[in-house]
Amino acid sequence: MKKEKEEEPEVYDLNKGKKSWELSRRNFLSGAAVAGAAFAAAGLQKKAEAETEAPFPNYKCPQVVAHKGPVNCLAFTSNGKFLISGSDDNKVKIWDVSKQGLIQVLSKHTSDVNELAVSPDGKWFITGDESDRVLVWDAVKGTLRKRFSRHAHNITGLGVTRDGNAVSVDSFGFIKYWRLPSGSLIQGWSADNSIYGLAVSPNGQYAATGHWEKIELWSLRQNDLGTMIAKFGDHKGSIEHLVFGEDNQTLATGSTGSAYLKIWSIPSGKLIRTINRAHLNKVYALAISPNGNFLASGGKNSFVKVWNFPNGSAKNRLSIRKVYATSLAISPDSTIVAVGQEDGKIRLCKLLTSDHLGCLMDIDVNPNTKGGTKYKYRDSSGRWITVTIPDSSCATPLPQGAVCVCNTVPGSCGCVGDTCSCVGYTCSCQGNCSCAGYSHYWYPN
Amino acid sequence: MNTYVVPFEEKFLIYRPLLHVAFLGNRAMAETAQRYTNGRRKKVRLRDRDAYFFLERIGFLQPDPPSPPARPHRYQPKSVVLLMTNRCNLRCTYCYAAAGEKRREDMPLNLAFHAVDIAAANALKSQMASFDLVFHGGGEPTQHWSVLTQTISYARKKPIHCNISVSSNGVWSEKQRNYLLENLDGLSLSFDGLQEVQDAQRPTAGGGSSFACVMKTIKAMDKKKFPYNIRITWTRQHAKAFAESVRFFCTETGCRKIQVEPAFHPGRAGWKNPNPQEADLFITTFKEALDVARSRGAELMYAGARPWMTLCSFCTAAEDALVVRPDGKLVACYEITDSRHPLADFFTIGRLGADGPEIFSETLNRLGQMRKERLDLCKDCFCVWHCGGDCSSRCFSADGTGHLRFEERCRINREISKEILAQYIVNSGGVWRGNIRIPQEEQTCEDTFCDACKRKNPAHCLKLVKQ
Repeated sequence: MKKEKEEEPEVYDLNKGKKSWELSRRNFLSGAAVAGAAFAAAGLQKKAEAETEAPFPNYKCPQVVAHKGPVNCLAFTSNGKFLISGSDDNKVKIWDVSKQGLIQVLSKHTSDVNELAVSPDGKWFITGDESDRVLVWDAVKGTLRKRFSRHAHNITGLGVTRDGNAVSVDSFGFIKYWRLPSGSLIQGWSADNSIYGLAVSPNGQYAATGHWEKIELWSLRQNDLGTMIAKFGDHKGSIEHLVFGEDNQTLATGSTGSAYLKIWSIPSGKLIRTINRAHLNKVYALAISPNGNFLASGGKNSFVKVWNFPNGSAKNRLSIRKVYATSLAISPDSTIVAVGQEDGKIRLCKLLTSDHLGCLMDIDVNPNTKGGTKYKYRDSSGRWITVTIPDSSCATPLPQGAVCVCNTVPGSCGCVGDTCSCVGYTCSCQGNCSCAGYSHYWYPN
Repeated sequence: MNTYVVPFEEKFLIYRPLLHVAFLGNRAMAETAQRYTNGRRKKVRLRDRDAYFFLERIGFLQPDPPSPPARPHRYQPKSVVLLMTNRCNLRCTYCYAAAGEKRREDMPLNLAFHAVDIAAANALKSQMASFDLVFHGGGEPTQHWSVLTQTISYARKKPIHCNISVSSNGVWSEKQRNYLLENLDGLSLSFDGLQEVQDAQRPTAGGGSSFACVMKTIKAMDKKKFPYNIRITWTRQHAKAFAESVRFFCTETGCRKIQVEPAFHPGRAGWKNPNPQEADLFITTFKEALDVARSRGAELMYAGARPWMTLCSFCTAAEDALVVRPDGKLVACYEITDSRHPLADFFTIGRLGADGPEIFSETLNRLGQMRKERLDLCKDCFCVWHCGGDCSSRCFSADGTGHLRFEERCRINREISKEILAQYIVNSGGVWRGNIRIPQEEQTCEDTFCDACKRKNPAHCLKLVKQ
């Protein structure tokens, strides 16, 4: 049974033998049915390999992880002090950008947190998950304010308008326009097909929804709210990533079925520019700088690329090596880009110089963190605590006054040379710090 | 999205019936396909990446098209099926109606005309280009010759085109043959193939051979390039000759459409579910015959397994057809030709009076409810899209109070559907991506039940839903 669970997905060719069917395993990308796509992919693969020859300085991030799963969504608050992240681990986390420390973990979601949007005044933010749950949070207090329960399917896009109203969409094509933070519905309507992504224009007049190969532009104006203004697009695959330009007259899009980005004129839907070979096959993340000058994209080639917007010329790129960027956010002053990765890391970099500023870390999801690593978090009384991971997994001497904490299961940790007490999942030692095989750390330094 | 994982040769057929995409994969691939088509997951897991891209490339992740229209809200039949007589010139050993043995019942001329009037009027009202007139069994329609020919003439005079066809045994006189081939648009010919089988299973009323006469009809049709299909009945007694009979059709006739229906009951006027051995025998011999037909460019079909179509009902007898018995009763099954049939009360949905059809709405609604329940019971089976919940008269209990258990007939439907799907996959180079055959005119919002959102009038059909 265990073997069955661990097997890799395989596809089989089928032939009729003399008496029975004959099966033969085949490569995913072989066979007549997908040959064309495979050749296209092979061509792009070479291009990607060439690109990885030029590693970027400081691409390494210590073994510090922010989430236990891919980071699906990121957003800076309007003052740029805080970064909010959502992940497959069902958690929403609030980070202090300057201290690069964890402030709060919000655990009210029950499935992958995929979408996130922050209100322009910074008072509220909303999160959506893979079930039908949309939660409204008080961004100042970090408390849950409201659950918006008008969706019945997984949330695929969230947006907030300048006047503080929210737009949410789900995978079955339903669009809801509602008030923040009360959650009262202003109007709901539906698109013809599944929706994979959403963008709301900065002036709050348009909502663009991403569908299979097409984009639909909807009015959010009071007089014709919910009216489809335009339908356009010639992407391949599902269009999951859309961002409006600051001028409200441009829209950048990327899909999971094509290597390129497209920039469209709004509201006509006329194609302005195609950025070819932006990534290998897929675009996984897209963000625009608040000053409207730069577009950042992440895709299937382990690069985050920065483009001049809207002319589409390359500006900068950042290698994140062997993993993909799954979400991006640019700070309000347009200087820092936060990169959420599929391995659960969040790194902060300078947008235009690629200077690496650091990675965010939550000790609770770092069971095998490298010795000597330090990280910061804010405790329940509001103090910033810096903790250090021991160099050795066994019997590391504690600094004067430090407390050893083990993140392990009760009864399986031990302290060397001193007494220990285990309460719940925490094992504290007064002498040496030891929790062999499990994560452990001490504080303060 | 409707995704099914069907065990096949120790692996799995991974199948989207509404989208008509299928391929063969292992358990991990099946789990991945289900994960990304269950309408919940959007982000791609790291370990699923290659499999996801494969699924995306072959179009497996596309949204489902609208499912086929469910039963119409109003009974407005636009085709007419006349069960002309219970007389017959053959004495088939498996005849469900025991035709030729009972007191004579013939369709009155005015009743036939009246039925034609109703269907023509409904078709005109619906702005259709034509309507259908079918002369069906319960006996041999050509035995009631006078009414048949007059009804054909009458239908031809209607201001709307009429497609006229007959289900017949093909044992005709020279005069009948000439007339029918001149005046019909199609024919479903009941014929069991090899002479020893045909004569044993379908003897004449006097016990003689019917083979030569039917072959004469076939030669005449082939010579005239008349469109017809053959309906062959499979029996346990002649199972071993089944593939040979199909080969005979392919080589000795010009027919390229063969439909088989099994008869598991031992005598006339009976019906029973097959036992496991009979079901196995039918499945095995059908597969053999399917290979024979394919190798000769013919199409062999069985009504319970039609993967080239997506269905919400097995047949249209209770939906879009006015099926009229000689006594003027309207029935919801072509095989329930007699009021003494155990399911007659359950399937008699109205009566054709002078003022038009009088519908027994309680019966019709009960039948509709039962069919809906059946589809609900079948929703986890991939085959439901290709058997439409199977034949109502085969899967409801005789007292009309419940559903028969899913037994061997369902297994037959599934096994044959799998076989056909596997062949499609082979022919398509590993991934089958068929076209969906839902007639455009039937894709109305009003009648569409969206399986994705489980609603009538779904989002796909509405531009704006104010809430």
